[in-house]
Amino acid sequence: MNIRLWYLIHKWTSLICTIFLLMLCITGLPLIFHEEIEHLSGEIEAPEMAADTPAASMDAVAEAARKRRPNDVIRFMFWDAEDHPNMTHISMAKSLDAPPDEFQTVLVDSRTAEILDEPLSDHGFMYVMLKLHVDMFAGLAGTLFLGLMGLLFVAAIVSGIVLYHPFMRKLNFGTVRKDRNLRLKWLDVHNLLGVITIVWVLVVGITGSINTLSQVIIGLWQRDQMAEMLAPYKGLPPPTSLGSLEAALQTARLAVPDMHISFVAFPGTMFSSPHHYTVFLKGNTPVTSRLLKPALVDAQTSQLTDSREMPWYVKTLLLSQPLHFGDYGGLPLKILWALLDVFAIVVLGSGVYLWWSRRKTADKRISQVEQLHRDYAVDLKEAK
Amino acid sequence: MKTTWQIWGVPVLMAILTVFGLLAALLGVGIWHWISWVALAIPVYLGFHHWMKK
Repeated sequence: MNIRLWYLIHKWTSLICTIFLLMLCITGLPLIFHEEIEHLSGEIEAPEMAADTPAASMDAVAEAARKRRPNDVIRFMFWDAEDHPNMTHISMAKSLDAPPDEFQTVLVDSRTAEILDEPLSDHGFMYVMLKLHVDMFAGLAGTLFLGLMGLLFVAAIVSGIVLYHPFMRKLNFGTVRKDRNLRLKWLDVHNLLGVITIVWVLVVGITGSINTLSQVIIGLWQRDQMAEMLAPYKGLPPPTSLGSLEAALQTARLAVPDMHISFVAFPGTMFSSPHHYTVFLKGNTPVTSRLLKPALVDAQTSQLTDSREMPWYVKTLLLSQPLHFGDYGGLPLKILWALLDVFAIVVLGSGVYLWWSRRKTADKRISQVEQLHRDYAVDLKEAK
Repeated sequence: MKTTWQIWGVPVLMAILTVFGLLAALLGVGIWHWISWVALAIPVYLGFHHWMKK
């Protein structure tokens, strides 16, 4: 393909996606540090107690949440021993099938079963950043649209890589021509920061696009592996009363002894069946702590129904999350993530500036680069 | 005129460092996190260095 065609691909894919990518890069910046920001803004923690204080029965913990919000039902319970020790996050909603983003969190002390807090999760700066970043307040359609923009962004990067070569024929790496004109300076900065961040933006862009498919991927898993595991329950009426949650958790622990519990989906929710507590367990290494493994426990008998490794497409989704969030290598990695994000913002912004400042003479510039390309071909022939 | 290697040498090296840095922190713990930070800091430093130099 010739340079002009690559230039047109670069121009048009960039023009369509840049405004959304700028929004994603800017809203993503505070999201990188959401744990630190939540910590500083006074997120509640379980009080200090003797280290050997025993945990309460999770049935009592669940009951405490139900008493606090008698008109709501519990959909999920989460535990995170590292970031929030001795605390149970309980996600409640008006009904089991309420939309996924309509929930109320209740925080309960895992040892005393006392309510710690009922934080409002649908307001504030970080909430707006997250919603803009995930779906622009437009639900699943917004999410999938941003995934499409991510794919256009990948096309823009690939065409940008092709164009880097002819632009750099006469320049040393890292040249920034500051003494001639503003446009030339920003062209050089665009090329420099663009080429340095190629791998990072490709990784974050592709994993981000994969993340936009999470609801689709979960739906696929439910129809595929989940349906197989639930085959014996097909056609049975849903149970009228549920057995002990604590017993179900214990069954899961015994069934998967080398992992620990990350969260449990209650019967009738999107990660479970009407008949089961589905317990999700995680491993201890950086990779296995991302690869959740479900254990389906019969909610009435507390017997294990099945426990299988996730299929490849769910594993791909789960492993693409840390590579998008940058939350897997401590604070220094987050800072580097933020600096690379700033580079990406500069590349996007300078790209818009380059297009705007030279719309009329862009054709002339491409002719020059083409001429350079032809000169180079002639040089090669003469050299032979 | 620059050769392909003169044009792509540094960018390819930065790409390798980035891939290595991203995977080191994902697959390893302890010392691997330090190695990851150093590997990723090199392209970040190089970007600021050339961008901001007089």
